Amino acid sequence: MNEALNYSISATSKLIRARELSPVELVKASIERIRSNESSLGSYVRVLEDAAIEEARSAENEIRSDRWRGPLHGIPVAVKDLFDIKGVPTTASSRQRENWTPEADSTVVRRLKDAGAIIVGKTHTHEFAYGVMTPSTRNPWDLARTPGGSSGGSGSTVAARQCYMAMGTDTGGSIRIPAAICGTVGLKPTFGRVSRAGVTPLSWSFDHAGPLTRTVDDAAISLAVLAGHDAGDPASLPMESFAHDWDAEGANVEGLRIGVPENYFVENVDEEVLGAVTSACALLESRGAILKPVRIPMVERFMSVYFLIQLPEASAYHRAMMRQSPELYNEDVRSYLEAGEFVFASDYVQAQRARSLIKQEFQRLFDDVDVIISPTVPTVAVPADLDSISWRSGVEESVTMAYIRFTVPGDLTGMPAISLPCGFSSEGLPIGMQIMGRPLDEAVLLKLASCYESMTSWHEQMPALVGR
Amino acid sequence: MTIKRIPTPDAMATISGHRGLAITPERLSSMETLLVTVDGMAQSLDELKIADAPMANNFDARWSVSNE
Repeated sequence: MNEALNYSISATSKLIRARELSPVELVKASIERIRSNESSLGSYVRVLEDAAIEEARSAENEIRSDRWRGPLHGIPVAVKDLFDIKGVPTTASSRQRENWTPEADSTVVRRLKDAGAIIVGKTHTHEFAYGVMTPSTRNPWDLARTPGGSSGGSGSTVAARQCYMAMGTDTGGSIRIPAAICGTVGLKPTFGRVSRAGVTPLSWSFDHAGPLTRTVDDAAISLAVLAGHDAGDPASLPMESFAHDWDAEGANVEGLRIGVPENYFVENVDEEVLGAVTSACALLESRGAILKPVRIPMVERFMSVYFLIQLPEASAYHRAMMRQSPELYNEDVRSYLEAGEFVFASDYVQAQRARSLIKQEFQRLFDDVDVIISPTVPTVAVPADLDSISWRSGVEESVTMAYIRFTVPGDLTGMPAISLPCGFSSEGLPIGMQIMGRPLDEAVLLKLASCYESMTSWHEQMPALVGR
Repeated sequence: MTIKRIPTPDAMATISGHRGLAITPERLSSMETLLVTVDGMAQSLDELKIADAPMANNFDARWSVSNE
């Protein structure tokens, strides 16, 4: 039974639909694997064993009665502990929220339940998604290293083959960063594609919700369930769901114009990381894609605009808690929240206006290319206690700034972006490649990513811990 | 001319007090580096020709639905 946990969603789903695989047994296997590694990985805030097995029984009965709901029916999944589940505490991995229990499901959870997915647990986040290390959790490829964050628990559990998909949120890169350094796929959809209703916010202007999965096809299957208009999220796009209607093996990328950055995404990057991405581009070129050098616009403003918006928005959300019980925050998060109180309102407005310019510049860039490919993060998973990185250029950079440097543009602009495995470092650590595209062009990103995945086997590699 | 906009520790203590924040003088002192960075970010936007660019908000991040 454990072996089935190593399959993709589509392969497992076919077995479930054909009644060759029991959702109850599959969920039990998922929970057993979580339990066996949890003391070393620390991916979960809470495992929902009883509820999951009960839901799996219900799924099994429905499928036996020819009421198969779709490819997620009976599939074990997890959600980051920012997504509300009715009757289950949403802690945001914070002492501030230890006893807060929502009375309704978030829209994402409702959609997953409607699709028949079985939620086996809630995964750890960096406290309130305000960081990229997820200190409670470790990387399955090396337990001394960070899984990244803030969706670190989701990256860790998917990489450890404990469940098939885990939900993350991405404000500065928090889906794509853990995906890259845990060796999974991470999809940040276009802003407004997936509802954030019932999800604890970090920064309303940038927050996205999306899946971390083992394969690109699994991400597409998940997006088809998650996407769609929701009146509960004021930024939700007025459009129907996402159609996943292509064959991953047959994805045609001939003539697709890939923008290969000459600046920004090539500066202060590990040679192994850049080499892996360069090789990936060459492989796609061999399938008929056209590589075009591009210069990324307004790069010197990315971080200024990002932080002048994100800092005060986070402080606004935390306003009451910061006044009632600031001592309950971890020190790093408390400092950021205090700093956000001192950003002037006029600077926030200027940053929002500057963001409009950045979006315009990217729109122009996409006149010449269909997608842009870059490393997802400039390095691999770092030791869990490392604070800063020294680059060969002499630049000393905090791990936080290094990790978000290549992912922030996707959040500033709202464009969709996917991270997928494209190699391993000499230390055996996963390397992630990022594909960014025009708003609402998820299908183009996913087809290109599928094409690459079908030519490689990086996604089939498993951490040694899975076999324990 | 670059104008340093970070309030003095005394002024910051007053501001944080008015805002109901429990920020001790020690915490204010340790925040200075972070606030100088944030202030530098704000000043860097002054170099932009923002012209009549509208203010984005969380509704505007959608760009356009006409792409699909």
